[in-house]
Amino acid sequence: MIEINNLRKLYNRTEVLNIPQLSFQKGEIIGIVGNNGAGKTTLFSSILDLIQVSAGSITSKGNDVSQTEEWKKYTAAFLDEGFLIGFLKPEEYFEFVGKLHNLTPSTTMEFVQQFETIFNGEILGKKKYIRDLSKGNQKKVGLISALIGNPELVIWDEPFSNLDPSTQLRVRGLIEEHSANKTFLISSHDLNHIAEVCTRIVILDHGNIVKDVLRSEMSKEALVEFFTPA
Amino acid sequence: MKTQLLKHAWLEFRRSPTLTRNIIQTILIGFLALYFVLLMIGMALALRPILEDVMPGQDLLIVTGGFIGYYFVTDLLMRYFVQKFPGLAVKPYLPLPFKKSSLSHYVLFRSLGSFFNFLPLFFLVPFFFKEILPTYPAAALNFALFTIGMVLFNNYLSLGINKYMAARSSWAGIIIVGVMLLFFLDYNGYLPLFDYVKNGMSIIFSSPILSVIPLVLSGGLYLFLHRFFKEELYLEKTQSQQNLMGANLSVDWFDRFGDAGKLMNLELKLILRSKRARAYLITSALFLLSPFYLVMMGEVFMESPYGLLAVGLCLTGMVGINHGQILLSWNSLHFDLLMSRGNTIHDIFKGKYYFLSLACILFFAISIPYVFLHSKILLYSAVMLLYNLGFSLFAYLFLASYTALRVDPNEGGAMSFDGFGIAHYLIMFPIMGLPFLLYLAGSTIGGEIGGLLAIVLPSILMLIFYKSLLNGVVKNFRSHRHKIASAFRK
Repeated sequence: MIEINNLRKLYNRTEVLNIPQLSFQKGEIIGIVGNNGAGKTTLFSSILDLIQVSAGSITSKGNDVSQTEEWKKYTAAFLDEGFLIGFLKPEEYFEFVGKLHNLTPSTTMEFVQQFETIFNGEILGKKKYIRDLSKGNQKKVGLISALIGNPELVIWDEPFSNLDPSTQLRVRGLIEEHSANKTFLISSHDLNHIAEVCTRIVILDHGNIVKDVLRSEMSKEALVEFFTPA
Repeated sequence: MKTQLLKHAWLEFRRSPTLTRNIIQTILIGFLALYFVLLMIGMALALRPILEDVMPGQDLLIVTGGFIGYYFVTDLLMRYFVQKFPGLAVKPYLPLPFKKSSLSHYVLFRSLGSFFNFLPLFFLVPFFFKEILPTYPAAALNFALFTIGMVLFNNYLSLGINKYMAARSSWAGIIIVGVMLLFFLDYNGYLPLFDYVKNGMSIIFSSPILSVIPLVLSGGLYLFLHRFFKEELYLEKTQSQQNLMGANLSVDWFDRFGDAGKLMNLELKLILRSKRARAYLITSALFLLSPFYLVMMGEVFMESPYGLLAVGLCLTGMVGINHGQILLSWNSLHFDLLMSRGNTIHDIFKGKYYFLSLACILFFAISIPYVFLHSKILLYSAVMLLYNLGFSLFAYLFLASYTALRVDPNEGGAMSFDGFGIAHYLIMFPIMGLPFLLYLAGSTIGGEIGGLLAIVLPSILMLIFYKSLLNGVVKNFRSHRHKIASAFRK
């Protein structure tokens, strides 16, 4: 699905990312973990061609993401508020995203309504603009919007932060439920969630991959142990 | 404690983005302010000789009274659309040990710091000492009380309207049409509006009781607003204007334009629901009144092709100049979505071009009735419409594909210049100057027809090459996309 080769990203001559080789296969749930400044968001932004990489290449289904736009049809991401449109109501936003994937508004809304338990009655039909929603509710809108149009690759940056405990668990359920025909690429500081939902764990530190293992190869305890300050 | 608040107000002004972000902009705003100030002072000094020349034998005080009456109505309109009021500014102070009452006084006091309150003083003070006091000592006090009172009254009235009525833009259309109608009636002599105002003012200036009314009203308004703010300071961050008339407008017809059409509906909603984008639209709409200025300037300008070209530019080009110039910046808050999901870059630019073209055409259509005011206005605006579609809009697209600055479309109003860089100011000269040069060149060969053809033919040529031009813009944007996207993230 995604092939990364000799990727390097420098900001003012400081190297923030250096990945010689990394690839993600279809159907994987990849959890990227790492302390602040490890390069998680930089990696996601590079895959989405939102930043210019200093060296190396990233291909999606064999096409260079910086040269083509085909990947935009099957890739969906929610990294931060930069993916929300503040002056739209949630319904309008969902419909807009749906339209980008050539879905009719009614198809989109039918799809979205199945997440009502996550929305908890605070999002649909509230006649509020997204910019007026709380941080948590904005997050819910962003996460769900990334599932519209049945994308093959879903990229979520810190999907669990700012969410209440029940919703965190529901989002985990979502990932498991939709993983059959999707690749999930998520980052999180919550080691529990990562250890329990991901099929593969990649640990980044100062821009380098220090561990890339299947879940079966690393227990939750080992993961916690890894991040315990010496 | 209170001096602390004032100190912060001063710092906020000194460090405001408009003044600190780039030097050219600061200088430009400085010049603009200076221009208005000098204009006011100049008017104060030159009004008597001019009036003696234009309306000999008329009483200076009474005629000036008429103008002042007009001024305060215009002033109220301008404030209504343009003046910004400190609102949220008090939020950080709420949990601190400040009395609510002093915060409320602070908000009301700060609103006086607006340019709108200082500007008339540059006319009123010199005029008062040079003309009124020596010639009309009896009416002098009334004149002073009335005019100062009106400045305060307008300030607090528009503050009140601003805080009370969210539905600002729906009124805009009604007010603009109303003003156009009044001007029209006045111009054609159906309604001697100026005489009414003049007579009203001369009655006011002769009566101390009437003169003091605005002052009393502003006092009342102040107390009322003070009480209102004291109670409502919690709710200062009210919900944004969801129930605004037209805010839910969606044009299904845009879907005809395919993938680009999806983005056109987004653009429409952006304008309707974002404070600054709306203010820009209203500013553009105000330029629809420009033919009246032409008429007021007199025969010389009305018959001059350059005057007519300028009017054509004002009628059909202002949406481009206001909204189109910071083309992509409007989307800076959600640019990452547009860059990574579903749509292509080509869709974005195509949508922008179509949207702006339709806006220009709409403005042209609205101004068709001006043909009754002056038969040539229609022809000249049609020519300028073509120029805008063929030249200006592409210039904005090309500019946007090189460089852009972050803009929060819901922050600031018509007088905020965030998002405008040096390039934006520089590009104005060729865009606004080119049609005049083309006309000049063409008219030396073929007179008026030649001049107009010199504008029309190249414009049509540009439109014929629309596809390649658009592809050029997209190609150029692709090589600058990371720089632009990162500028939008700040």
